[in-house]
Amino acid sequence: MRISQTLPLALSALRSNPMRSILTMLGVIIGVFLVITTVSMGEGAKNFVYDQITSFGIGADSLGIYGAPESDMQGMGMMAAMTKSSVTARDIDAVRERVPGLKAVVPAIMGAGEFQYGKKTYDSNMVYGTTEDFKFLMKDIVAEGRFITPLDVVYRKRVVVIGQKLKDELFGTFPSVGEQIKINGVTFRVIGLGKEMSSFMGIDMNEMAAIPISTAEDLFDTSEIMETWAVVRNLEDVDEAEGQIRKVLLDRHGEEDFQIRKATDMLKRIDNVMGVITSVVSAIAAISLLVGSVGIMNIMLVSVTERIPEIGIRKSVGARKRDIFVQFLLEAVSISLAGGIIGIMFSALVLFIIGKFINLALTPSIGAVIIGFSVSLFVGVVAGVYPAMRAANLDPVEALRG
Amino acid sequence: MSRVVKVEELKKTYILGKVNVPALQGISFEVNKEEFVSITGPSGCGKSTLMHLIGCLDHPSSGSVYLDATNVSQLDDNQLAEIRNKKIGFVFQTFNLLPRMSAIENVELPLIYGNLSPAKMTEMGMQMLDKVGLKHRAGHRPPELSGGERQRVAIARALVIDPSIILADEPTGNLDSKSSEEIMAIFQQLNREGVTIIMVTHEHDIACCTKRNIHLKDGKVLSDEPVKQNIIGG
Repeated sequence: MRISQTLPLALSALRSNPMRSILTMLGVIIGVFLVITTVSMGEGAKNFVYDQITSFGIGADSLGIYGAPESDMQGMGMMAAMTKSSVTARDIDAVRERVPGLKAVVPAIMGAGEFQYGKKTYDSNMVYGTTEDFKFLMKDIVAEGRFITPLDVVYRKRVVVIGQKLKDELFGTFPSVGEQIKINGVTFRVIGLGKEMSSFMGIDMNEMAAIPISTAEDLFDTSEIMETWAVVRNLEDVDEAEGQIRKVLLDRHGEEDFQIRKATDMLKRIDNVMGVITSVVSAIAAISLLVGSVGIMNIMLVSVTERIPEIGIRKSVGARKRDIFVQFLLEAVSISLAGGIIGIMFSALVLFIIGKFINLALTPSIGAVIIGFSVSLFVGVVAGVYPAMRAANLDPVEALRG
Repeated sequence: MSRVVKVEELKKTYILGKVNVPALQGISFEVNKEEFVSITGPSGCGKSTLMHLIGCLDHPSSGSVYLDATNVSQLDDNQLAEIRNKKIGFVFQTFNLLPRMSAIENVELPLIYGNLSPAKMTEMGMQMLDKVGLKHRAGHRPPELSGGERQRVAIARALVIDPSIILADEPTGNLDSKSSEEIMAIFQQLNREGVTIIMVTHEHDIACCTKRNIHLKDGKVLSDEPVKQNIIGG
């Protein structure tokens, strides 16, 4: 018997009892739906974060140096470095001199500023004192005007590049470049306007202002450098560079009162979280698929019993055991695969709707779809083998009696 | 004349729990090509068992069945299925059509276990439906057909593989007398065209339409003689 003849047969058996078929598929539908939705959302979240990180220019080739020791609580060490940092400009110079293979070392002194233009004021806690190398972190950062130059740093110039949000708040639709504004009462000249940026990790980068690092030392009265990004020339040198930077700082500080983070650490943390969520949901999905499989087996046994006369007739006209086996196995696989496909489509729909809400293009990941498809195929085969064997092994005379 | 069926010392014993029930106790006869044989006898005499053995649906306890010189008693299940698919056309009392399939699909059923193209199968199926006068009902399902029509579909299904022999088990048992006559006329016509037929019946006047009668009793052949008068047709 040709498969092209068996398949329509299996499908017509499903169509003859649509309600029963759908109910039977439910376990597979839910299982596949759960797997695909979770995996796809996890991947979506990861891609989102990765895009965010790379759009910020801090890719896998970047190391973050923070002047506070590693804390038990994730990220708390980074936060601590914002208030009291052990890293100074001298440390940064030492890193620049002694660590080869670095494309750029970008220090940042961060602080809060009250911005004032005319009668308008706006508070931003994202004033970055940095250098021209900042451009290695953010490509084409300036939409209008220019960025900080080495001369600005050397001469401690009071110049500022402001983000779009600051510009909107202070200047509205009027041009900002060339205007004088006050930051914490000190007069600065706006030399550039940052490009529109998406928010990063819930932080609106458009509130950012960049000033020369030397000027920031004066403005915030500090020499502590809270955050430094070291960018390596070759991606494969990241781990080596991390070790070298650690050695330089240890030599100078005598203790590990700092931490070095890789941009990929963040991705790893998301991976860990998603790993946990995925295992939990996979366990639920596995139970659902198991129940689905038992359901399919049950309904197939019912179907075999109901169709004993049919099996007898088919055998009497020459169907071999194999033909009957394939017919019923294919029927079980069709139920399961149809459930899988409905689960995939349902998942795509739900992902689309969720994506609309959180403004992110979520689609079922190819890997998840392949997994969902294979799992439902597997479930169908497992559920179908025993009933199909029962059908195939029926005695033709007994079967004809019904 | 060439021999189609040869039955030799055929025995079949059913084991029901601890009791052995002998159904056939050593039956021998031969059927030649173009014969039309009726097998009669009281209920429980082993008519149906004999049919199942000749029809390769069951294995004998001892003895042999030869179909076209092949000893089918020694074949395995798959080989028997192959024989049923190529050489035997069954016609049952209860028609045994698949209710969800149309008449033409039912007629094509034996062919799907062969290796023909769908177009060829439909062509052959339509030919057979035409032969039993039901071409115009090809798309109808069995529940939409009368008893006589259903049995004609079943006959078309038996004929579609051009079998060596047609085995009919009480083919008129579920039909009114008018339909019975129609069906018997078809069988007689087929036999005139050269189809070999063995028919189990307990109705005397049906047996009288055949050319030879084998009478069974208690699993043995009581008589085996030519039928003298044909009521219908012949």
